[in-house]
Amino acid sequence: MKRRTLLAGAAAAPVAAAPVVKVLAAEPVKITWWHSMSGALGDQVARITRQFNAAHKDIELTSVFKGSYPDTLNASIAAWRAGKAPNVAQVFDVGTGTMLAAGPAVKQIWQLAKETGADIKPATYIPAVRGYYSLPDGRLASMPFNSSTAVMWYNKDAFKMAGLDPAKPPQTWPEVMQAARVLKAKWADPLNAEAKSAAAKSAAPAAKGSLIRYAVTTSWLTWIQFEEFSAIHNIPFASEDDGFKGLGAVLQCNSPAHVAQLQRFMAMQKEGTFKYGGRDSAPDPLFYTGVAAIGFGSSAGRGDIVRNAKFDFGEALMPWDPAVSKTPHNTFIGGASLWAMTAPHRTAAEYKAVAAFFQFLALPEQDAMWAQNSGYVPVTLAGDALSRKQGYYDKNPGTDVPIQSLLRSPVTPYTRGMRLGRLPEIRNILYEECELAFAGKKTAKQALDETVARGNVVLRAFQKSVGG
Amino acid sequence: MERRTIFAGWKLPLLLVAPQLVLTFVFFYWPALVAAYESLTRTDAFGIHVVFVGLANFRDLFADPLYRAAILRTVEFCAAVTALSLGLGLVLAVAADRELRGRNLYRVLMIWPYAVAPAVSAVLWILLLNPQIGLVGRFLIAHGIRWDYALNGSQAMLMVVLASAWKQVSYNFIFVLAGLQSIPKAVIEAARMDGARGLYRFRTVVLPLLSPTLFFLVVVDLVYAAFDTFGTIWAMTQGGPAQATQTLVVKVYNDGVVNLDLGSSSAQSVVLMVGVVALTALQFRFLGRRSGT
Amino acid sequence: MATLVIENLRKSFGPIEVLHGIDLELASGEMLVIVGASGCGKSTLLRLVAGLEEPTAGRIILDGRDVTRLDPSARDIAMVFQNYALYPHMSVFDNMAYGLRIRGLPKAEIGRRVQETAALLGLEPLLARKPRQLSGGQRQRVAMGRAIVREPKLFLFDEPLSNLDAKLRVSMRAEIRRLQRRLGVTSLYVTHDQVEAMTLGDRLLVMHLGVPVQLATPMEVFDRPANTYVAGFIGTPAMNLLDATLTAGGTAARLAGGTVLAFADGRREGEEGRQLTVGIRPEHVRLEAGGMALAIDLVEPLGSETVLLGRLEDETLLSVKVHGAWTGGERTQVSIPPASLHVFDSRSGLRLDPVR
Repeated sequence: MKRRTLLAGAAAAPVAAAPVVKVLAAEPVKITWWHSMSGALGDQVARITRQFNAAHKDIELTSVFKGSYPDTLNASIAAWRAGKAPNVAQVFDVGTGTMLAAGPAVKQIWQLAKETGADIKPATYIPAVRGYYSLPDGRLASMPFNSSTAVMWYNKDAFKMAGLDPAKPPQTWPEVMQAARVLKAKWADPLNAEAKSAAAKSAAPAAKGSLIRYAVTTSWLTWIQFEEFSAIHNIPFASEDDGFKGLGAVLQCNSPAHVAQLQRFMAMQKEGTFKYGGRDSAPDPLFYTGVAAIGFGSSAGRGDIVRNAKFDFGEALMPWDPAVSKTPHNTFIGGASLWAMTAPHRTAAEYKAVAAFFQFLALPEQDAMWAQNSGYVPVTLAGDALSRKQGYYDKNPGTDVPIQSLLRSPVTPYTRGMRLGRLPEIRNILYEECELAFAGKKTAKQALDETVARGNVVLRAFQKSVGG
Repeated sequence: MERRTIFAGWKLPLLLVAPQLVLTFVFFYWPALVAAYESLTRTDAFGIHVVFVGLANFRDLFADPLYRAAILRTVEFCAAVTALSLGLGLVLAVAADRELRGRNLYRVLMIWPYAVAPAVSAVLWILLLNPQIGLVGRFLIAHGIRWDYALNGSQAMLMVVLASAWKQVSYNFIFVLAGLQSIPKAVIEAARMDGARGLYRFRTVVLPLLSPTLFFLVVVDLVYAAFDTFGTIWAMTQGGPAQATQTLVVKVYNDGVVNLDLGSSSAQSVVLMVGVVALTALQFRFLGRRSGT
Repeated sequence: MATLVIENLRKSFGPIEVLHGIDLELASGEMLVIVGASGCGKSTLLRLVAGLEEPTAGRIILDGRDVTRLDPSARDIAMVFQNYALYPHMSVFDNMAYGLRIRGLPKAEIGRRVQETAALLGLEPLLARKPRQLSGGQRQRVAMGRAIVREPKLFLFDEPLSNLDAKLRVSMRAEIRRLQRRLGVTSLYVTHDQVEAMTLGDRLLVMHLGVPVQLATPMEVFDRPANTYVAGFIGTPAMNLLDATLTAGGTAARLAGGTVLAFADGRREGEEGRQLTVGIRPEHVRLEAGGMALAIDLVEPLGSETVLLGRLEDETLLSVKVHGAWTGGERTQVSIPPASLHVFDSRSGLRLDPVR
């Protein structure tokens, strides 16, 4: 550190007084990054760490895998309470509300930039990405990192077999339902009958090939079919601009449009064209093993699909319901962002190193490389442009669909994302209620009304717990 | 004969028991005390705003029909797991108690499931029962059974009961087998000479002599079903669909770790702690009385 | 009341044959005691009769019916076990009533028979107790009662007294004999205790290494042991067995020390110098001045009698039983009365009877 900077904020006081301030950069500043990236993604994290350290001789970044998203969040919270928080924590999208309410535990990006003088401009980032991690006035709270969005995957072979045009996937929900009926009649039913007669002949049941095929399935039912659905139609999922404006938000996901959405799935289930395959990413295999011809999922699922699918597949924009909105709006992102965390005796040099790391991630070549190797979308406009220039999207058709989806329209207060405390719990409530509806125990309206009632209890409890 | 070792002074004995005391304190009493304290507060995840709320968390808990439903569900789940695993353990132990070829191999194979990690056993069961990829799941569907545990709560419950019971069968098997082998052979032979055959002999002689073992196992199995099945359930259903497989311990995890509602989660763990203390006390009293006479 | 016939009964465990072919016939009401050292196959024989083990070959015929392959429950045999084998969770009454209930007897009949049996054995005050609240002797009685109450065709006793202390054993022994006589039930009784065997049996079967060695009345076994094994096994202290050779044209035996003993009962077959084993029971050895010199190593007073353990001049060991206490010194002189002499062939061990 060349210059002593007088920092504002609670964590700064001990720093300024501490005698450990170094004048020489002889010893590198050590910072740690806790993340949830395993497998190939973990390798990318290791690469980023290596390259950052090589580029910054005065900083030593260590990345540590801490398990699943909830595991990393919990570890970070526990570490903060023990005064040993990592400098950077990767927190999943739905933990954003919790982190925003964490007050002194985190240093939001705008604050970090101000204190360290680092040049971090929100405008660098794709609006639909930064919106999720921004305060209502546009100041950036956390650093966009791995971002994906909702897309519609479809089996081109199945489309062909059903006589549908694989180059023209359905664009609206009525088209989806119609395509589903055709897929059932001309693709699923014939194959099912064939498999059944084969199974009847051989003693081993369904030894190869799955017996039951469905036209449609969806992963992330709550995120994609309700939260993103709200954004696509520019309607609120919750009041206070989906919670962005304040902690007093109440759920509004029992509107007629939402009820119609749930009824749509219930109707498809009744027609035998939709298969509910479980929560979160559990239904992913239904699509890539060829059980379902259309699978709604995260764009980050591309890697799995490429690896597993034994058929020609396509990636398309999410459908919309023209009865609710004449034109579709942008989707927002899922995934995770990076948070700068505080700890007692944390030096200004460390914050500066964190800022340098965030700036490093936003370099176009870094962003493009990360996106191309991980399957997530670029988070910066320059990274996206670089990918395009490099011909990545042309060589890999469909890979620009998520970006198209994020840029489909200007971001509105209802298409920024979700800013609700305890969102994982609310998602689980919505899951539970939808499952009850799919099991025939509730009507769509009853299920969503109950979701709103139960979810609001959670929101109020959260509001109270953070002293709001 | 009573064996008693006398130590002079108290320092050495204290030193010898210290590791155990320290471990118990660090891994049981301290967390228990923290949980008891947190159950009386309302706090955010970071512990920045902590408000003492007295028994409000408990009041909210018992006023919540979903929590009451979870209690009932846990009782049903525990009863089913205990009945199934103990019944199977009993049948298999009786089979293994006979003179048969390859008996030792059979016993070792029987004990294996106990060594399988809950998450692994859950995956094994899913590989069997999954409607799309599971052998059994596809078999059921091919034969016209609407097998879909992602939506059908009863089927999901059946599945977690099966997987949980399967893991505990080994434990029951070992103890029942030991119990069977501790029954004097001559008593069984006396019953044979008295003319008692097969099931009648089992019911009137073997079972009563096995009852202390069985009672012990019932308590152990109940505690297992109530607490140690978390890994299995979480890996299979995460408590779903709806809340069909959400037992109390799953709910504690869900509310504490996923939902970060520490006050309620702590209150729930205090309730569970009271439950297990009551069960253990019951067992001590019962076993104490039996060995006392 | 039934007869028991055993024909060529064999039993192998794997490749090892433990019973090499037993033939037996028990008269109705007879008590036969099977005696032998542990491992002689006597318990196996009993368990085969009980039906607890399956024979490898041979037949068991009870009361004219072949029961060889029948389940124990179908044989109508009762057994008293060494460690009693009472049902620990049942009262004394239930222990006795168990077998009757299985047979579906009316409740009143069960009650009557249990009460009668309990009266016979003095168990009436104990009927409500559990086995663990009883003494060893009481448990033994209950085990007896459980067998008696069934009124079976055959009683089997598997060393029933060996877990009792010495004094109780003597009185129970007498009681078993009394009860068996009174009830007249055909019985097989296994023991390793020769005193029990002698006192209880109408006849004895001495077994050795899976082979029946001698089947006779107790007194015959004592007086005319069939071979050196029986001779050494029956009688306390054990019979002295001395090396000798046939001499004097088969009319006498010459001991290793040179002493010649003339046979009182007649000439034995064989050449001069045939190797013999001669036996003399310690109580039959006489103290007699001018006899063989005996150096006494050990004096064992038994109260009314004393056993002297000594050596003849040629170092042959000899035990002598005398009345009263021993007042003599460390040396004495003994003689062997020819009338008490037992003669065996030393190679086969078999008894050598006089030529008739």
